[in-house]
Amino acid sequence: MSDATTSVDGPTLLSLPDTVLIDTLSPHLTSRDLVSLRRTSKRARAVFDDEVLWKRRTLADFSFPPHASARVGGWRKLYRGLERPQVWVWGQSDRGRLGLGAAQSEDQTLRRLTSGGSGGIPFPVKNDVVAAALASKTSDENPTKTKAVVPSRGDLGSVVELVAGGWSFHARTSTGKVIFWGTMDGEGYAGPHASLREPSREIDTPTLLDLPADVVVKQLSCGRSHAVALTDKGDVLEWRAWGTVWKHDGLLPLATATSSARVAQLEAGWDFTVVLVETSSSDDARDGSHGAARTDIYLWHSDLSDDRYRQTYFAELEESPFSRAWPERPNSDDSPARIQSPALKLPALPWPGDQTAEGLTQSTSPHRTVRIAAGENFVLALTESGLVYKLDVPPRHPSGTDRRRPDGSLRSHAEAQRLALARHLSGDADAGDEGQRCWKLLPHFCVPDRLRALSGLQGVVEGKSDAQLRISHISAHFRTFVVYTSDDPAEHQLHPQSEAARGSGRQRRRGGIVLLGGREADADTVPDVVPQLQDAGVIKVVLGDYHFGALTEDGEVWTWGSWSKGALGVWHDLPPAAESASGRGEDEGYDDTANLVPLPRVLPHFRVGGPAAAARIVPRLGSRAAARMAQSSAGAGAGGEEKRVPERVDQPTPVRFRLLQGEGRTVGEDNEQRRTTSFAFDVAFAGWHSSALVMDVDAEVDSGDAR
Amino acid sequence: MVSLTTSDNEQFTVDKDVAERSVLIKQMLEDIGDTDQPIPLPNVSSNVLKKVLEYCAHHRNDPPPPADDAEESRRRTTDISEWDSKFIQVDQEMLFEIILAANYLDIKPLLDVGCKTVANMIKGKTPEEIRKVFNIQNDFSPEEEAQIRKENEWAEDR
Repeated sequence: MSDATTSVDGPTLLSLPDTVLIDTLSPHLTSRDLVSLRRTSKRARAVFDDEVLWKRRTLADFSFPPHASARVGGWRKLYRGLERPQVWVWGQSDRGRLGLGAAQSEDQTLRRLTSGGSGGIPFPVKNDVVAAALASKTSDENPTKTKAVVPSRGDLGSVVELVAGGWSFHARTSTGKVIFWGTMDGEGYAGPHASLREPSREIDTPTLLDLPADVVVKQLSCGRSHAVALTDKGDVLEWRAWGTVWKHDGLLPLATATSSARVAQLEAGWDFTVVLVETSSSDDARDGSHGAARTDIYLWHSDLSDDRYRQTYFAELEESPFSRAWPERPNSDDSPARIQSPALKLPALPWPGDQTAEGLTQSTSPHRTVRIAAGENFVLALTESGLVYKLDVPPRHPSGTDRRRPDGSLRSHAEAQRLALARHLSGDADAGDEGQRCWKLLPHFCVPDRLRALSGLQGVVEGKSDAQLRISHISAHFRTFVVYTSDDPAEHQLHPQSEAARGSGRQRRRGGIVLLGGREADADTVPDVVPQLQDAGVIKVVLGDYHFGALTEDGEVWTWGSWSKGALGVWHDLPPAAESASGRGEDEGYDDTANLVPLPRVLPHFRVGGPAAAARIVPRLGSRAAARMAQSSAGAGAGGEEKRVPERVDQPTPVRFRLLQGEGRTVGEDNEQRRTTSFAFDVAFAGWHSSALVMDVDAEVDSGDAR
Repeated sequence: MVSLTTSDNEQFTVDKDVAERSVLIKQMLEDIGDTDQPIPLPNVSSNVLKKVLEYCAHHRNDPPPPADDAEESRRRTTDISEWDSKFIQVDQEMLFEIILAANYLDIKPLLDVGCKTVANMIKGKTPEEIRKVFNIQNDFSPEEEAQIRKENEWAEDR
């Protein structure tokens, strides 16, 4: 090809319009080709840094979780880091919930931390056992010394999402596999040789969930002691013990010849599950009301450890499986075992009884639910128009009158619960307050005019349109919920063409409001506004029992709330009580007069290495904190005063993820100034424990400045 | 029949269904109704339009392309039918002209064939090889080049 002569006037590859290069050409290129192309010239780099491009690629290649939609920038960075993410854990450490395996009991320092008065690790530690679990290729290497529970592994991929349960964590990988650790049900106790079908069996080493090889998990959610998953085939799985995964049968009765139903989102509440189901009928398609699928919300309690569980699995063997560790699969042909789902359809959302809210819904279908969230005894629904509704779910019904059928036989707990709920919602029962029984709009959490009136949001909401104040995400856990916006017009703009938009990976594109509420919230309740979270680029908010965390678009994790045995993870920032006057700025926001609890001393540098679990655990310390620690540990022998930490941290405080010298980077003031040495892209909190997915971004730090 | 005038003032007369492979022309015809007036295509030269019409005539009976959300299915399939691959065996300038015209005239399948062809030319090549093939000037300073190489190391050791 006569390139040198033809290129003077005629079009060239890089003179093609951006839309052609990004939308039509790039989908045909592998990421490696794309990166080679990006390296050829400045123009090529500018074009192929496009955020939309890397967002698509990230979503497609890594089956990224739903919360990711709040992210606007940083997609290329994310794509790169997703190859080798790190799992960091902190907080309460009993019941194996940090997944540190043997390290926790074998390492002196960790042992002192976790078995001492505090019962938890107050700063993030990197959990390399997860990586080891992903890397182990054969069943022989499985650190839990199991046989038969390792399916044909194939490609396990890399961890893309963490989900926290009451005493456990689950990690979902890019190939749809699930890794777990901790204890599903921490209220009971099962010995170290108990079956995995025992919900209270503790697994302190990250382990692959035994699912048939063709099961690809797309969504995962955890309640206090149960977990639910959605597969790529639309099946809903549920488990209360890792050794027994159930598949729900007949969950979608609405799927008929003329309509198709699919689960759009599933969410585990405290002790129940809700799913958002979209139904589109072919009639709709014909009369042109395109895409306006109907949405319904279904709820169920399940009691899978009940009679059916025993019948299905133990009919022949009775109690013997409990005495055998890691038994063979009961019926490997039909695993996961099927159950009929006792799901109940929740009532439709009412028309908003609020003038402003009604104005909002003019342009969209008001009842179309786009997201759901659930905590202890309540469910939240977010509509396409940005309205937030709450429904109270009656507390778990004790085995009372509802358990007995008219013929005298006993219903299962799940059935009785369903009956009680149905009666509660229809108003048959003496449910008390009428208002408890139906969906209630929470106007102060979602109606733009009400948001503008919130005192805590003055200055943040100024000049923002209704569309910019539209709530786009909700989440809930235990007794708290949060609603937030992903306030960036660029998200709705398919191809941001301006140079400014192209450079967005580096720019701080702040925005968004974050509002917290409690489960008692009603039409008059005004949300809690934490000032630091407003206009701060928050893309995910996670809630533990009493500790809370926010993930920002820039990869930072901020925590606030109760100390919760270290689940805040901000210990390195906390001054010893004796030093409170000496230099730590007040801007860090501790109340030094608050009640203090003792924290055992630890060394700033330590390393953990169990034989099976090659965990490497390093606290992340600023140099000042490290120096102070060195001092205080020097004085430890002399029985110096105890280090104390506040019970609460009310202002969101950054959590740091940092490796020490010999780990490929250094700690020091230099790094302190380069804020972006680590980039968190997912966080999961529950109970009194926390975790984050973190990646290194060293190579990325300067790329924006070089342009 | 529909008449089309190119940027260099040449006139082409083709069957309506051939011309309507172009979504742009189809919409224009819908807007103005039946007309004897030639439709001006100021962004397309006669030698390019000739090629494009050849493609349209060959594909006049194809089913309409799938909706936009078929992006995923198109992704990374770089297969090109035999006729198309012969058709697109042109010099680089013409290849990009065809892509530009297909983009302007909104002929998705042709745009795709063009881009697939370009993708195949890029496949598996180093940055230097890509520069050579497409005559791209390396305008990075040595420092920038070192930086961008570092940035991209992740993709190379996969």
